[in-house]
Amino acid sequence: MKKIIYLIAFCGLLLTNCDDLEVTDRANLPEDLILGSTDGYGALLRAAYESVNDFNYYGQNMMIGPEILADNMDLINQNGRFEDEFVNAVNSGIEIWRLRYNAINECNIIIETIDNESVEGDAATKTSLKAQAYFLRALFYHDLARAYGYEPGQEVNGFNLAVPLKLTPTQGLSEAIDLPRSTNAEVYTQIISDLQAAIPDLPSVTAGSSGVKFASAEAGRLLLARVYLYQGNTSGAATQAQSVITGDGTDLIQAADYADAWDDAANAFNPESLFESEILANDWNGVDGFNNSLHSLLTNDKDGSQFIINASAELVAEVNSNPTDVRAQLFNTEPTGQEFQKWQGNGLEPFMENIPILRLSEAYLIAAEALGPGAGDAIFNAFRAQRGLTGTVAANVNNVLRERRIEFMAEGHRWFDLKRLGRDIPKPAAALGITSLPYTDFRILPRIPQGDLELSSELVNNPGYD
Amino acid sequence: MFILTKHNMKKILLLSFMLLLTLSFNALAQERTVTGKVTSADDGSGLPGVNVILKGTNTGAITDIDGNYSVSVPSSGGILQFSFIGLKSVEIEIGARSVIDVPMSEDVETLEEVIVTGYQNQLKRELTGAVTSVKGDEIANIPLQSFDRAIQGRVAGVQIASQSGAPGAGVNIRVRGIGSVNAGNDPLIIIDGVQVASNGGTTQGSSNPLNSINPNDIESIDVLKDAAASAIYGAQAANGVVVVTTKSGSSTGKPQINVSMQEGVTEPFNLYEVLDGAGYAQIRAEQESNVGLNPARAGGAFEIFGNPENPGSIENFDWVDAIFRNARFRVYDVSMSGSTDRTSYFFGGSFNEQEGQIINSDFQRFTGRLNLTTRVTDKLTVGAKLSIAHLDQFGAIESGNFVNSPFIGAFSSIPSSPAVDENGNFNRYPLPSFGFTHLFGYNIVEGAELEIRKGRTFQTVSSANATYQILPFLSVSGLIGVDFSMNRDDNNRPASIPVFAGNGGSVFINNRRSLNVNSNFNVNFNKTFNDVHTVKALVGYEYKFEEREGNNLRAIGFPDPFFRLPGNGQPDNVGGFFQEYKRLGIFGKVDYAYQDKYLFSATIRRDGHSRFGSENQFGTFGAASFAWRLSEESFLSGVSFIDDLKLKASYGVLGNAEIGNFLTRTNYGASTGQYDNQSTLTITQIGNDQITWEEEESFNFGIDFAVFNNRLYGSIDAYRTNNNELLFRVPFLQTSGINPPTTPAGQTQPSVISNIGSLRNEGIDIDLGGVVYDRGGFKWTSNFNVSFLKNEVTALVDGDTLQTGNNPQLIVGQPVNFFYLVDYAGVNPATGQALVRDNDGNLIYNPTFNDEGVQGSPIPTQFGGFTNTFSYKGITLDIFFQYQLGNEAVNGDLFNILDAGGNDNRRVDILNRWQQPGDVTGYPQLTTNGNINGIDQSFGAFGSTRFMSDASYVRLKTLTVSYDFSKKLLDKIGFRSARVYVQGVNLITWTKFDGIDPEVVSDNNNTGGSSFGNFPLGRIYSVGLNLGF
Repeated sequence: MKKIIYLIAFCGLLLTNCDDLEVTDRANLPEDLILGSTDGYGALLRAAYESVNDFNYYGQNMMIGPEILADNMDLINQNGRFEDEFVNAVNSGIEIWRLRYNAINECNIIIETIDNESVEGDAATKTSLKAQAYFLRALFYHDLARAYGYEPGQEVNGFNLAVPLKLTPTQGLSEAIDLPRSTNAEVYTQIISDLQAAIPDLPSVTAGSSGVKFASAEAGRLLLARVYLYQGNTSGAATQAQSVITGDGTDLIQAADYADAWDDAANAFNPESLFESEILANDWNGVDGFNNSLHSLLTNDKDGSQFIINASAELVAEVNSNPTDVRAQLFNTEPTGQEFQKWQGNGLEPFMENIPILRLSEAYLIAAEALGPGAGDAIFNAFRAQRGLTGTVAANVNNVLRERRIEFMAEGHRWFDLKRLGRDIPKPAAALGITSLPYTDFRILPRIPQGDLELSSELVNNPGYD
Repeated sequence: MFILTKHNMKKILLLSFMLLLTLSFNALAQERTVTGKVTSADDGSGLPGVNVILKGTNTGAITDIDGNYSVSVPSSGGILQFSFIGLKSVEIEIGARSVIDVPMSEDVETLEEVIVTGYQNQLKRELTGAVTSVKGDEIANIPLQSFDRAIQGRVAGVQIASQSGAPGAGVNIRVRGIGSVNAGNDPLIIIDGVQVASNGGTTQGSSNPLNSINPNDIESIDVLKDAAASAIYGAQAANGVVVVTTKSGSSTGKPQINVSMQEGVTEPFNLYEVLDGAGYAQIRAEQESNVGLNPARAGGAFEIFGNPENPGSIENFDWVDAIFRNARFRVYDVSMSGSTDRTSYFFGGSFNEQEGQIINSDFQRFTGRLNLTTRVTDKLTVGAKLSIAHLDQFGAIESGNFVNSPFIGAFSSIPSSPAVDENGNFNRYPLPSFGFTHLFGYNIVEGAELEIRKGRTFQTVSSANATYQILPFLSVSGLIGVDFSMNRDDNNRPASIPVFAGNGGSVFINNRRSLNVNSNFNVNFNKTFNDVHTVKALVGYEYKFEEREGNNLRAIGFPDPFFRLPGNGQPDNVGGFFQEYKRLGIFGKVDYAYQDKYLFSATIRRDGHSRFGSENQFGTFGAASFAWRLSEESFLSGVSFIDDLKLKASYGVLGNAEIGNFLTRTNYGASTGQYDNQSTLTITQIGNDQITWEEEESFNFGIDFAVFNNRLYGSIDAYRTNNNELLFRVPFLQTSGINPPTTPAGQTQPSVISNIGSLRNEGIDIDLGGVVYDRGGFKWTSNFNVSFLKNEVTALVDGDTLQTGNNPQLIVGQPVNFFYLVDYAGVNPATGQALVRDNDGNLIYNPTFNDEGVQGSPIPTQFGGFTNTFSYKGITLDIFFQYQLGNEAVNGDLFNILDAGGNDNRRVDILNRWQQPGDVTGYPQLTTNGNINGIDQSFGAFGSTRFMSDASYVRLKTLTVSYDFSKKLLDKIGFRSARVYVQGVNLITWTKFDGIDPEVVSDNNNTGGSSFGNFPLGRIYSVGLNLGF
């Protein structure tokens, strides 16, 4: 009897000794490790870089949205995507809110905490990471400002709110503060301040080199030029744009090489790129290309593309109005109309290619527009010559706008160019039921995401959405 | 070195208590010996393990393997009590005898039913809680792969809904409503003492974690519904407990062998009837002419789809017929059961092969089981219940609006673009001559034929146990159980499918492992004092851990689909996951009964869980209950028609910790991809280490009765459960920059887990059964159960509404799930444009979010089942209905097949569309893009009630006609039993639901399922043969 009791007691003790409740999350890393050295901050910064080619940003929406909302694209096939944008239906628009704030938080953590003494790493690395974070934060806030608000000086009925300026990191719930929308002027001031902080500490880069996948001083100055132009500061825009230009058109792609330059098998980075988002095979899920890539939506690729969008008949006519324009070579005739050949999807995997965000030709066109007729003519015509256009024309707004429309077709500029100038939005004939969207129509601004509106006591929606 | 901590203290106290308990009962001096043999009244074989106790004392013995016993008694004699679970207890006056042989017969009375309540067994009449049992023979031979499907409609208060009609698919079990929002709602399932994991199956299609258990091996399923019954499981019990016991060896010496065979066919039913080629051409032409295009123009609808005026010239391919099929199945099952000297055994094996109702979908399973019990000594019994299962599934893409899902493609594909050409080769889809793409160019027949989606799972749910009977009234026992599964999934997308040619095809291999171990040790005490005070007590300790891990790889670029080894392609992607938790608990329970008349029970359990932060790691739960057996009272002894009457009441607090494993922590993890070939990191989660257990406060009042010589019996239970400290992922601002959780997909707001409020479930469960007619060999028995349920959110910490994304997710006063939509008001007869009601009730074209509201709920307010069995001379007819009432469903499929625009083929009722002013219809005018004046006619941004319908249904679930051969005939041919039967499943459905299957719909009772592309259940016809010898 005693033996048995000892045995039972022993077994019981053995079993009750299992009292450990410690567990390890082997799929995640703890915060103190990540924020303990510049290596961790580098990975945060790369997450912000990687977000640039997300399909809800330059990977798709930010490139196609501004074209199809305006007059550069015809929707030729209904598969649910861009049907509403094509006809500017209520509640359509460019939705980039959540992912931009996500990437902005990564920048905020770097900007606000990398200089802490607890972070291991040399000062130069910290300075470089911080400068890049400033650049990216400026890019993201500018895109948010132009997507969700009016440009300074172009307000309709005085509505001047842009987006909330979240400049502090969120690492815990108490830091997820409820902010009101700042005015467009405030947001532009912040963007300019970020770029001015970034540019001195960014390296110089050669257009089209592999270095353009990171922020550079040239990319910073070109973005600053763009921001000044949107802000209405033409002298600032002209100065910054000219500082990027290194020749009289010779630094651009030459007319004879123009079409070939867009073959991304030969040119992984566009020869004019100053900032380009790189996509590698391990960034990419096997079905992403078929489902979402620019190549799939815009190209009739027999290997499973969606091909829902052509160049609008009006855009094609405009390009062809000048028979020597080399950019006509980027069209291809399909039974449904003219297909864009800009996104050829010849990267490491099918349908994959790097996505240019800031190209040198934009510096020419910003400088031309900012300097205006007379002062801007030389730069403008130097650019035109490299696109096969003959003769000289004045650098007035309409002429520059025409060139911007063609030069940046399928690159996401058209809607924003018309909007920053307060122009009504012309629509292609194929967009049934709408011939033009007046600049004063409330649909020029999209809805603010309902989820945030519901949770916030500070946010207000854009006019017309209640 | 043994260090005394707060923790250890508890253990030492516990152990000391156990030892004290053990030592405090010393044997008393005795005077003479009585011996004898206890035998089975059935076949005369000796019965081992029978308790023999001298009434009113601690003295007793247990029969040995042959049924022999020897017990010391006072010379004056006394009364010997013989008891054994499942047998009728016997009391015998010793008198002067020294040898007493006793035959014991099986206890067939329903009141003596044994309920397995976890860690112990109880007689049904002793229960003070709400428990419902389903016996194995009620669910045997129903051709469903897991037992949870088979008990649907058979347990009051338990709502069971299929997630899918795929063979081997999962189901959702809800015991007494939905008690949680973000913490789980699945009950704790215990199979032979093993607390099984709720995952581990294939990811290539719907899969049920209970598939590894052959339903025919099951002896009984006991569902513990209220706090009194389930509090012993403490923090795991809030969603109810399902205790499954597999068969043990029969007590007969001679092995009993049972063989069963079943074959049948499953046919799809009630599929959507879609347009043929000519009908489609007509719709397309109208879409164009309505927006001012001439369909006869070059490149217009007539050229592409044919001129509907000339239907004979239009090609017609039946995609539905090409995808769906009548599926065959067969089930073979063999078992052997018996006992030898010291050992009883149950040995079983089964094979099940079941095709799905669509092409290239199937399920195959082998199971093996060995349940052993050995009496090592008169006091020590050891046992093991061992099961192994191998499952092989070919899954389908389902439950989502996916172009490569057969349940989308079969109905949406264009009938004038055939899947195959005249030589049987697959065509491009749609035909290249169409000049546009549809469904991403995915030919669904080709995809279903050529894409490989296989899942192979090996699983064992096994346990080993030992019991030492220290004294007749005191035993200790230990158990260790394991639920282990390994799973390999293969998804090959060959380059021969055009849409996969781009990357040269792909091979995806996913290897996963799930290890789940629980062990417990407990002491049982059971004694009657002074003949009237019965005390049962239990104390125990339990520890559990679960670890799940998976690794996967993808390779692409295969020159030839024949070469499918990853090494034949190029590496593309590697991934994996890791999950872990640990849990421990100490518990105690005391039952006290006075004269079998007044029953009291109290339970307490303290649990610790790794999912909570250090401050809230432990929680204490418990219950108290009382029952009064009025039928034992003398004032009712004269009322002869009452056989049993019991009133019961219980109150308790249970816990729920079924949330993610690491939600207390702020995590950094990989972002969506790499950049510059280097890692990216982002904040994947903001943690909250202040969270605490969800608590369920549960009240139950019930009555159990049996009257008219047990001709009519039943139970009625009324309950209310208040679930407090609800764990919920509370959303916060997107501008914070934190990622929303990745599951479920499609969330926009980041969130953090918090305790946010309370909800309430209240209802009445009624179980009624009886023998309606029993005369002249004809017998009709009937069983009916119904549950009335009301679910309501009662409080939220912050206001009356909790918003996630665009819509409120919780509203005080509303059920936990509802449809928040705009109210569809049909089509303006003058314009053909769809109308909705704004929040003031006015008809408008263009709603805003303010015009949305609660329009219905997927939670049924009533559900249950109804069984009738008629038997006459060996012929038995069994009819079983299952039903649920009061719930709505939104059928997402209709967004595709009733769309006012787009390329999809449509259901035939699209022909009711508005065509000209004056047409009164609910179907708006057709246009190319489904927009009229810039307004989406399906109101996709909001969702409207247009595609919502009443999803109540009553279903003739099973109908079985069987014939049992007579004993006379069987004796002649040497069989013990023989039965043949024919059976039908899902034969008739009564419903107003606008869709294929009201059982497999979105959010049916919080399934979280999709409203798109669900795999509907099939109608099953089968024949079977059961033989025993």
